[in-house]
Amino acid sequence: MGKVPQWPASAWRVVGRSVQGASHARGGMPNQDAIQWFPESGVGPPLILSLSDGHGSPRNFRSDVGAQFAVAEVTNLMRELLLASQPDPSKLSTIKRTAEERLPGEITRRWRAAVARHLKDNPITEAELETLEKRRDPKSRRAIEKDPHIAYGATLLSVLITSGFILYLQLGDGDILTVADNGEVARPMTRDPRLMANETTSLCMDEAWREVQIKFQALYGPHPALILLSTDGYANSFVNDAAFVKVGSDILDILRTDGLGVVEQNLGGWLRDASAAGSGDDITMGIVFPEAILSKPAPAPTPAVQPPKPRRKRTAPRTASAPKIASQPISDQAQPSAPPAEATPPKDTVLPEKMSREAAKEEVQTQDQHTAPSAAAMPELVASTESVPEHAEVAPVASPSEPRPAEPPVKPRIELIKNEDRPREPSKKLPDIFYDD
Amino acid sequence: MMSKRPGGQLATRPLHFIWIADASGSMRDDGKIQALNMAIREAIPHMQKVASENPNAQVLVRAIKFSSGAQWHISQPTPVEDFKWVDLKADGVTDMGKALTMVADQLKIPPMTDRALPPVLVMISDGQPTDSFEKGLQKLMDEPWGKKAVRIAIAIGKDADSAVLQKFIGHNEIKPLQANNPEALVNYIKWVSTAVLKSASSPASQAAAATPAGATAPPPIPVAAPSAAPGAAVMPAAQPVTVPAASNIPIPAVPPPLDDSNITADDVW
Repeated sequence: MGKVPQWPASAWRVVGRSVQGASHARGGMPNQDAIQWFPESGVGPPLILSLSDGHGSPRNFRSDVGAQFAVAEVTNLMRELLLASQPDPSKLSTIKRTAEERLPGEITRRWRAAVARHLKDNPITEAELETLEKRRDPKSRRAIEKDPHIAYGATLLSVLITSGFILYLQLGDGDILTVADNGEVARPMTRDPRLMANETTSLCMDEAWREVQIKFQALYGPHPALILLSTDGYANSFVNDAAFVKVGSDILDILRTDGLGVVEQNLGGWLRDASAAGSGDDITMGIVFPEAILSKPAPAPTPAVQPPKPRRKRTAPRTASAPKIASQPISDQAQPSAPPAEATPPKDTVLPEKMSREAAKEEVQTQDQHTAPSAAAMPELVASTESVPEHAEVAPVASPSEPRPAEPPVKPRIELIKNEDRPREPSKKLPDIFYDD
Repeated sequence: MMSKRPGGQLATRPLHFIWIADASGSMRDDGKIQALNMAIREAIPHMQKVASENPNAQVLVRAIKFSSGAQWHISQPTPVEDFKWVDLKADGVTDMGKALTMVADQLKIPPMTDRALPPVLVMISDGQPTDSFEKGLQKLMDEPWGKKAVRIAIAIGKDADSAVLQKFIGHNEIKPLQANNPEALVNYIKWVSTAVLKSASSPASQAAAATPAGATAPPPIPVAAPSAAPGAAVMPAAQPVTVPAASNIPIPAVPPPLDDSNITADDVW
């Protein structure tokens, strides 16, 4: 592995939640969003935060699994880019070009590979196809038979923060906001006017790489005071865009005034309220910010929750949300020197909001009787341990004495491009659009 | 510690439902305009019930009429729970294109928001356009929300221009509904006000969840063929339960005529 990235003067922190949509709860549908961050401490840089929104329409009946693949694969890819940028992270132009030209193809290729592995172990069943045909039409069934990746369709939002640059990645709907120190909110990504009426571009479409947006920001000058990523269910819950954008400056104010603990404590409730009074959709939000903006000391990093043990085979149709994979621990080889705020979290904060340890275990046991966790097809994530508290509503709680499984180290399969490499061909045609719920 | 919720005002997603009604002089014949007024009036409670089942969508209803020119009949997007039908009066010619142009103006962003659910546009006509229908349709299709709208058409009587209505729908698998008597009109208006509204206002994942896995879906229903005029476009009898609309909203099965055995005798238009 390459050299350890240099830590900047100020550490960055991440906090995030994902909540089941009010309409999904009424309809008995699972939360089809996913969130993951790296490293597990939630302290960086480097920091990687990724969100995905599984489409959820009848054709995308495994989109909750697809969303988890999306955040897992992009996290690995960002880590590899980070490692590839060593030992000379000052070559920002090369890193930028590599990101812009290699990441779109790599992330879509790896997501499809992850889906293919899952399909190999869990082929599309006749029951799933029959259900689809009854809910939609024979044409939808034929589409899945022709390309089963569609069943896993999902969007992707990701940000990588290092001491020298910030890299944003987006495919499909959802929002990335940056908030300046003075509270001014901006969007680093260009809004795609095609994405309306619940329609979105998707990882599952042909040539999805053409739809990946990459934005590279060198940190020569002032950096954002806060970066916010959210799935489209959040923006759709506000009366207009101005009302949504205000979230960015408001959270910055709350962090400054009340501290990180208040945001961590209330975030799940804010998102649930928004879904209930707004779109009804699943909502996931992740926030990244430099600790220097806090007037109060940040609490200890987010505690760990152990995800369920992976399974290889799906034994029954999924009837509830698969457990979400939280951020994965950095491997021994890639482990940076201890971040400034690294600390052992208090055990009593391990549990998700309003849920006892026993209730969490009971819920997982119940679910295990009916579902195969999505981690089944993601052996590379076996060691994922970081908590995403809202998702932990269906995740078992780690026993403090339980040893953490060893995680395979991330191997840098991506290399910085060379000057003679040809640039990526620009997008020429409009793709299919997928229906995002 | 409690903290204020970040962001501005929360709101459910608006779903605009627009009646586009023919109020030309021919609608006076054989009680067509009275039948249309009655059908919409009777459908409102059903519409309100369906809307109440999805608290995350705000259904806003309005109506535009076309005869000699076009005019907003109920101009304000009215929450369905407050919506009251005002009877149409028939007179003049059939300036359908003008109505589409005016609808297109209202589907611009703004006044529409890009966070809305796909609008539902219901065209009801008994005749042929007397102005530039194509121009109006083009203006509608030039608007993103016009393209993504769920577009349904009801042809009243044998003189309705099915080809024009088919162009308005813009999807080969969805045909104009042919109403040749008051009962059929009531049936179709109720279907649009309930089944179509429900599909448009609910994310597909909700609708899917309402049918448990393995449950038996209702069989395909033959559609309106017996009441259609000879040669008129109708949905094929073997049509699947749902067909995709241009907006990607699945359109539910259309209800069958009320009395298949005596349709011809009931045909009054």
